[in-house]
Amino acid sequence: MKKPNWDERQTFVNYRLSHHALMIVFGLLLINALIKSNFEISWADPISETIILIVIPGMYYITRSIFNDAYIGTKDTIRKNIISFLVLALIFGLSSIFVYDGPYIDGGLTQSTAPIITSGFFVYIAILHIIKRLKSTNE
Amino acid sequence: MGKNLTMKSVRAMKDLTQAELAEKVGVSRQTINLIEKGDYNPTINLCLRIAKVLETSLDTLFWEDDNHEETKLG
Repeated sequence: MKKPNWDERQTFVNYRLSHHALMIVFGLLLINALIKSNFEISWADPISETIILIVIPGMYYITRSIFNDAYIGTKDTIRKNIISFLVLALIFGLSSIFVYDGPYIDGGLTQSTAPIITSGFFVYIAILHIIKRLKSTNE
Repeated sequence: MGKNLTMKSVRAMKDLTQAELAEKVGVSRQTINLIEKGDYNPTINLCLRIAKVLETSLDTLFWEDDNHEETKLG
């Protein structure tokens, strides 16, 4: 039988945090729908809007998972994760250069902000890993 | 749940670090740390794996008798 990547405690923590993140998604979708229908405000292009609605619960989940020692499995290493996320951030950062057409249009975020937000999200995860590594070294 | 000092001392007697024990048991070092600190209640499967690696019984590692609790509370 293949050895699982996360141990039982990590799996339990991740299940709990996934549930919290799902509730945040529901809450954000509801708030977004209320804002759009009642105030008729289009605060972002659909792609950027989707990315933001994914990134917020994602940030919650990943932050808590990393600081509960549940994000890195028993076979993974922090260094590998840091490099992977920085590479992803670089790819999205570079792709944003080619599609960039300003941050706002008609008072809402443009589609070109989506790769910038995604890149920032990956940088954030990489920074969290670095902080966690420094914290673990001092323990 | 109090600290599991028994597990810590048995591990030390076997000359194993938390990381080494974690590697042998197949969990993260933090999980072993939390069990020793009494902040995580392991499943019976994990208790068995730890007991096997430390070559001791479940009772020795995880049983908290009433007298011991009374002594601690008193």
